Amino acid sequence: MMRLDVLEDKCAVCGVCELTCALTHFKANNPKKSAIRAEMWVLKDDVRIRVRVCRICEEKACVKACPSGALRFNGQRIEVDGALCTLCRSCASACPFGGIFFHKELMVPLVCDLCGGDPQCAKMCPMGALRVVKP
Amino acid sequence: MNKIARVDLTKREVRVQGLDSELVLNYIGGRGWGAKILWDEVPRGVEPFSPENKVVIATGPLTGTYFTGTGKTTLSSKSPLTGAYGDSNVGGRFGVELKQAGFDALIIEGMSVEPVYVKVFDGEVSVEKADHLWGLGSIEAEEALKRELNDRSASCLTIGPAGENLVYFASITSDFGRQAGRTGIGAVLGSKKVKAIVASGSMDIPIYDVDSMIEVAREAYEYCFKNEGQRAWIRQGTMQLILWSNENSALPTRNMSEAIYEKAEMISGDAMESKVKIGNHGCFGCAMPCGQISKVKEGKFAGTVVEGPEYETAAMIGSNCALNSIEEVVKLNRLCDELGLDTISTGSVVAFAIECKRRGLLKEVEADFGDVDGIIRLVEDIAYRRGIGGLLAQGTKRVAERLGGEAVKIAMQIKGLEISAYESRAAPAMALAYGTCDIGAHHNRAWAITYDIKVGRTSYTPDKAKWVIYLQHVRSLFDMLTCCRLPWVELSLPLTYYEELYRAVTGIDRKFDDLLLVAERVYNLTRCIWLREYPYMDRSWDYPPPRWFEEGLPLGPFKGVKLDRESYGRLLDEYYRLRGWDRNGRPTKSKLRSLGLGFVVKELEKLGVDLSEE
Repeated sequence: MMRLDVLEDKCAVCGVCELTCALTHFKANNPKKSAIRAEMWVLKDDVRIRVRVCRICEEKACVKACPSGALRFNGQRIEVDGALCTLCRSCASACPFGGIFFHKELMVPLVCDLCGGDPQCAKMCPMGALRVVKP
Repeated sequence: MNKIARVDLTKREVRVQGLDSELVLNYIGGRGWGAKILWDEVPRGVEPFSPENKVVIATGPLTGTYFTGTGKTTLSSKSPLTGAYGDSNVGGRFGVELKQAGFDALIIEGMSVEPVYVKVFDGEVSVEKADHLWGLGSIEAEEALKRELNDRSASCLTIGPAGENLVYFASITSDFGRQAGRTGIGAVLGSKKVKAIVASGSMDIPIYDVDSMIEVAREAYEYCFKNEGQRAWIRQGTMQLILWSNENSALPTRNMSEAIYEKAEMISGDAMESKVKIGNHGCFGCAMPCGQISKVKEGKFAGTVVEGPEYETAAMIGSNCALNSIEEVVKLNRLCDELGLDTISTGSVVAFAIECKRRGLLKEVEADFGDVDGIIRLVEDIAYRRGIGGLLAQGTKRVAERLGGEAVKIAMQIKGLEISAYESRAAPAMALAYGTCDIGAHHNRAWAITYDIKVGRTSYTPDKAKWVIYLQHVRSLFDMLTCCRLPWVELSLPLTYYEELYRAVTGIDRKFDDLLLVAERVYNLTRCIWLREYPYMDRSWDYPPPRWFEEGLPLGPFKGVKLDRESYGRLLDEYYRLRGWDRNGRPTKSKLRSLGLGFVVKELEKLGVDLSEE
């Protein structure tokens, strides 16, 4: 199974992945419509960088948490059925990686779909922080 | 989108206005808008810390779009250091969030009586109380705001105690480690009691032709990724320049009395990479994230984290104050960032103060070159205006004028702004670039030293004037578009990409030369802002400080070299001639009219500023 491997210590929080994702899926110049986010926390004596994106975890916590059956694992990636989604955000709360997002103009949760097998963010990351791992 | 929010702090009122086509076509964005709005709205004689001064925070057409280096924003205001046009750009993400919140620019005007912050969230602009933030460091305030608003993606501009205390060279911090450092706009915000401006937005940034933009951007990203230089820039960023500058006798050392630092290796990019670097932090959309994150691992400053250092900081606060290690540089860098002080001016002011003390001109200064603890105390004294810090908080020019005589010769400033980190006694083009920079002595408008290195370190050939003008237009165009110039400067990314991107984003078909004409228009406009303010300004204002003309370099391959006053004068004449300015550096009426600046001629005539016809 293909998945996205994230090397957080390499991430520079430049947001190229975010914008690439939004443009690829929605043709929208809007990083807030992406299924991946890089965040930075400035602590007293350290800096923490976190990349939030679906890692296709073992437990599939989002699928289990969805009360309306809108999310399903198809053997490759998480699929969303927008017609069933009630925007309750249970999936986002359940995701251990904080990798599910909502946007007020979009009536579905944003979950990484690996661009159907050719993740564009990994191609465009200038830091090599996103790697596609193939089986 | 296509809106400007005008925030009147006195009336606590926000007015939203549309962007007119005059601004869009004739001034592009960023500093172009800053200059035009300040020309129109901040008349002669307005005191920088008065309610009548304004701060223009402007994005440009390329801000936030899909391209390398589009995370820039430019702030413009009347500078407390120079009393005339000042601007400073900042990377990170603020401009992107501002645009996504629905605004291309903010105009901050008036004055609040209590501390406030300006909140720009998805189409709503409000002025909020900031008593709880006042007094905090600029990075502390930013973290506090993000937590309080529970929005990690929000981006802030914040000032530190130096801005609150009206230190004339106070900076503005954004996204932890990016600073709008120059010309003291942090103090202007401080005078208005604005601790922070925070933006967060979720709107699409409208693009005329998304497919073309993606195509152009992908090609440009590919170009950068394939470039060897990209890796080097990620590894050390601007810190690569420390050793380069040192080898080229251009590294400011001990208040620019020297240009080669014997401990350059201790504060170099290599030292940073091997001793303190823990990661990178890029501005939005960058293909070559050059921002470094450093952490001191051992010794008395262990645990100090900073975004940086950058070359300018390591040089001005490092070699120029004779610091001994990269760890000391990291400590001072974080201190300045948190206090909200421009590291360039601070390094210059501290070094100047120390040299004055050594010459017996300023007895109250306790710090010495290389004395990190003393320098830390002095920097804090400046930020809090304690003791001698209160005097130094006004910048080198005012202190030198107060002390007089010898002090004037060693105040390393032009037009009130401290010279940034290129010692230029053996670099006449760079000296001219500093002399004619439109905010005071800053390298950003024309980084001409590479040209001196290429064609001759002691030559004053007319091509140098031509090159400086070319750079002043190309480089300042980036601050209008507003995006980062480094992919072009360092990786030679062809300028045609910017022309194509501008077309894809705006739908306006313009050749690069046409965009350059806008840069020339704005350069003339900013010159006229200076003239409006100082009708008696003449060519002497465009000369570097006496030290560069009178003292030869003490060491190295250019030992004994200094600027030649006569040759510099001839180079300046050539510069004026090529610009269509008279021999005192005043744009002629015909030049201004040909650039569409007839309204400037009219106003200057009305004010009695003497301009020649041709």
